[in-house]
Amino acid sequence: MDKKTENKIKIANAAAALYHKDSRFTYEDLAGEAGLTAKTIRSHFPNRKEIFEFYYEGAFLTYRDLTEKMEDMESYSLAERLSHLLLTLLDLFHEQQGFVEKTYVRVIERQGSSTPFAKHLVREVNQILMDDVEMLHIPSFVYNKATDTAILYHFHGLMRFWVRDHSDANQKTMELIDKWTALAEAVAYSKVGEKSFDFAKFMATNSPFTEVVRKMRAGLKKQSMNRSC
Amino acid sequence: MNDFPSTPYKRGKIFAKTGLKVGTNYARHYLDSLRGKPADRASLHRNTAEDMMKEFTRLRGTALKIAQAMSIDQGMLPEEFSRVMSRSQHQVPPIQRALVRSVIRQELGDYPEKIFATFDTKAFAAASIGQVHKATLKDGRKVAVKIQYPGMRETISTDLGLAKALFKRFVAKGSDINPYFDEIRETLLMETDYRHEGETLDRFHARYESDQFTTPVWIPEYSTERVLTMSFLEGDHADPFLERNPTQEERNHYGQLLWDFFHLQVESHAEIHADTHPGNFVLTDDGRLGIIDFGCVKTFPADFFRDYLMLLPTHLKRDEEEILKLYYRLGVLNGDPAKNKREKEYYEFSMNYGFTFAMPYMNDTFDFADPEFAALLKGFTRNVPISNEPRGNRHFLYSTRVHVGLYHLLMKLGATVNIGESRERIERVLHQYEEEAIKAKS
Repeated sequence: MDKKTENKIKIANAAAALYHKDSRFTYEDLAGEAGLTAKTIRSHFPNRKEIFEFYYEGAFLTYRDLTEKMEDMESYSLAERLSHLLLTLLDLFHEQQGFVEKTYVRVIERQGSSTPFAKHLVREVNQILMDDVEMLHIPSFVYNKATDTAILYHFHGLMRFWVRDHSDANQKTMELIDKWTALAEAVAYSKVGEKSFDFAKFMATNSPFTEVVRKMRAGLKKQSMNRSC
Repeated sequence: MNDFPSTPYKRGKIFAKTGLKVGTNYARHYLDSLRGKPADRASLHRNTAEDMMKEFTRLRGTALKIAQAMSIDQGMLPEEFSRVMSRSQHQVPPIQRALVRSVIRQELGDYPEKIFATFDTKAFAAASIGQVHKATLKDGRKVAVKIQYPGMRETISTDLGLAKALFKRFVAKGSDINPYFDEIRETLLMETDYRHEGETLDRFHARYESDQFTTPVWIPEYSTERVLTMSFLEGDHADPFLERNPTQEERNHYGQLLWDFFHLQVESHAEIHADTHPGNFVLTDDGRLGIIDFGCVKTFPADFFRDYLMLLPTHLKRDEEEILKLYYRLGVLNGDPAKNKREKEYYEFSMNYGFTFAMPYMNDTFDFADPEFAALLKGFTRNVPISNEPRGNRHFLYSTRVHVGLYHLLMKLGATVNIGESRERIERVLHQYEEEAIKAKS
């Protein structure tokens, strides 16, 4: 991780801590908290919104930095790698829990797939899936926009669970991640995906309903063309 | 006071009288069941148990603990059950590495690579509610780090609820299994607090660390409710020890240490290590007995413990009058065996079991390699005639578990053990109890 990113993460973390105490803090307050000048901070982040958004991206970059330093990552199973991603992000969020609870929905969830955090997350999950030897028999075009959205929705769901998890040391969220990734691995490794794809491919061209659907579609198209005329 | 038959001659005579009788009766019963005689009640239970087992094994850790407590030792459930359970022990899935990292961070404040000088991400031992990793502290000390699966406390409660529902289908109508489940619940929940175990480690270390025994040192700075760090005991478990083809002398040495450790605990009558499982004992390179895993340590109430110990001299003397009194007090019998056929069955079974159990205490040495003794004990756990009605004081669950566990371990080692001193120890304890009782009366 370069010095600039490190500094930006430091600022974002200080902002998160400050936000939890007083959401209307100024750049001067932040400068005091982060031990930098307000001018430096402004050079990195022209406005507060960007700092908050970067907090989440920074968590992801920290995860990546940690992961690169781990020697045994190569031998991690699919479930372990997915768990590692989710658990590490939540470990980091845990440090600024007050801030994350107040801002996640607004800063990340409602922005859909446009935030850097969402992009990193989706790309990472896809990468983990595609890196897996067992998963290679599933063609890569299966991973499309729909799966990307599904990944995001699952993560938002996890965040909602985490916010409501009042168990000691967030044990319930840990259990959820463990059980969910184990299930995901089992489903991914089973032949269900492969066979479903095979079946769907066949039915797409041979189902008697295909004809009906095509006619219906053609009819609808005609209708709308007539209307527009 | 001397509750034991005093001379070896006397003891020998009783041995001949009871041992042989027990031997032939149960050997026959055992053989019959092996040959698959027409479906009797016992085999019927076995079938029910097999169905139940399949569902039960899904409960993994908790089920394992229940089985350990109930089936193997108490003879309450058929042996098939315990066999499936011991298989399921190996199926307990390891805690995945990503989760281990996060648990350590949650509990100790940072990831293992930051906290320890080295940390083996692969667990070297599995426990039913967690697993153990080897690590080195930054000051160079070698340690064992026990990590608990998240949410264990709640899992245990849910699992016990499910297990109870399953058990109800299996045990005879109207029998009360609640006290046993309460006992297991209490013990299991206690096991989930590793700080409790750490404190126990401290007490045992102060009490037993010597040139004969060694126990791990608790390292509280690296321990919490769900992570337990202790010094690593280097040594061989029973299996690798036996693979080495040890001499008879070495076997006897190992066995004697186990035997003495048990009786020292009895004499201290404070706490007893209640998980007599081969994985919990090692023989160190300098010839000491290393005792590990102090999650399950029991303190028995004085009146129960006295009665339990009294079973020994009364059976050795074949004092049926006293035995009967004890059985009533300990809840083994619910009615007069002279009048009730079912009670008679219980009475005879328990007495024969008791005789067999007392056998090692008959002479000054006992050879646990004796195949006849092994066949006898096995016969009992396999052929409990009354297997679906839980009986006896709830503390039996763990007292017999320790005792039978000890016998099994000694049989596995094929050790010959000197008995004399341990008999004196038990006598001394009983004597103390008697004095206390007299004092209390006056």
